Amino acid sequence: MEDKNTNVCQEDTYKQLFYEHAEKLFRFLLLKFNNEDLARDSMQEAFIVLWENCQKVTLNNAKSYVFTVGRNRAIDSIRKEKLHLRIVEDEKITITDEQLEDNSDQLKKMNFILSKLPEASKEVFLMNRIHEMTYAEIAKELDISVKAVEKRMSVALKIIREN
Amino acid sequence: MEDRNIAIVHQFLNREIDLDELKQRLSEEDFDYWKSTLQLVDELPKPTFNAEQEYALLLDKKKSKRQNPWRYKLAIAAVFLIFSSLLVVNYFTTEPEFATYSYQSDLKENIIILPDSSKVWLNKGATISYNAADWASHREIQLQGEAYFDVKKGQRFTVHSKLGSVTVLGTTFTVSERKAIFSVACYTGKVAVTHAGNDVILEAKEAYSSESNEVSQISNLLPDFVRKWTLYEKTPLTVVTQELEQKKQIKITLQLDKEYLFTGGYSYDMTADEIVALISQSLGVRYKKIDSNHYEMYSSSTP
Repeated sequence: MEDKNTNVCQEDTYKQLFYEHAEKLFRFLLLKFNNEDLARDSMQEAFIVLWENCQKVTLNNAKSYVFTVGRNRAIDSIRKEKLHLRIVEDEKITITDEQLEDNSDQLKKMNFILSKLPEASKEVFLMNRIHEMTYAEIAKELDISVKAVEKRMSVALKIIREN
Repeated sequence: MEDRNIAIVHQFLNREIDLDELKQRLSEEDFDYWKSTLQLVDELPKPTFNAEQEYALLLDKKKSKRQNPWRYKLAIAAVFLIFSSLLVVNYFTTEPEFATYSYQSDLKENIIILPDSSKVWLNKGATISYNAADWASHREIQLQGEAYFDVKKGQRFTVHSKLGSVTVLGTTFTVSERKAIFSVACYTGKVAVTHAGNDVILEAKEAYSSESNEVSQISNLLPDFVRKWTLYEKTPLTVVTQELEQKKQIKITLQLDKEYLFTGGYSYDMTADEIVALISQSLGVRYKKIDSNHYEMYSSSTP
């Protein structure tokens, strides 16, 4: 248990955390915001902030820490970029079927379904499936009740079923 | 619709129970009802992600952006100690004056004139910064994104990006680092490229890309983003339409009786409609618009 409470200032620990969580965070941000540069920058920012605050963050809560920072950074930059709408529009990319590496029908279908989900359900769904967060963790992160998380997941399930 | 024991499905998604337990707890009928949905939930697009490469990028960004907080604190402590013990010594030297410019979408031309009248054209999303106070002795630029350089002859001129660097004396060239791909195109003169520990010398009309790790020939005299025109000379129509499809996010189907070669060009400011019409006219073929972003070009002779 002592192990879990040590901070992440050790280079090795930090690197290991990056290898464990960076891809999930990047994938979550990419699927949520459909913008590769934004996803990469926000993911990197999250890990830089983690390093800067490494003494305050324990190994145990590092995962949710980078997630919170990454997500907030992405939302902040979108807010800022709204002022420069042209840039945002130029650089916004949606994942086309051709870009999917494994181009299976299932994947195509899911990609299509994602675009149909309401934003709130999509976010909760991605947090659960990609960031592997439990309903309780999601509820805490988004400051909503577990019941609300369940509701949003149900909406996602319903849309997946119907498509 | 009915509930179909969705609470148990939630327990599964919440990792409280595994698939076997889910199967046990649902009736056969209900399990069948959920089966296809559950097969889909983990089929999500997976972008390519090279953790090692991404970690290297992160370390670079960390280094260039901010210092390790501990080192930073130690540095403050050290400066304080030196300062208090050596009150007489003027510890301050001239601070570098960094100038930073980013691409601005509302400007018609994104050209930056450097202190020695060398010029830089920024492509969308590009940022450069350099030390203006020290420019005469060190011509060094930090670049993010893509830019075209027209360098006045003189001392060494170096462009650093997070993936590699380019050194020249006087020439025109483009450096680009996007999505972890570093590429350089040399239009006139000669440039030295350093990337991942390798040195490559590019002659005029040669280009290097970290994607293939190879030097290739280029025919353009200027990058398209500077010229704002795309020009073709006797280029197979399929190549032209493929590039146009990418640029304008459209689809063009070809139903032609022979291979056409296109010579001509179009401006960045033209719409997809205008460009398709222009190409069709100059080749003497017909075209129709199938929907908002799908065109078909066909021979006049085909019925």
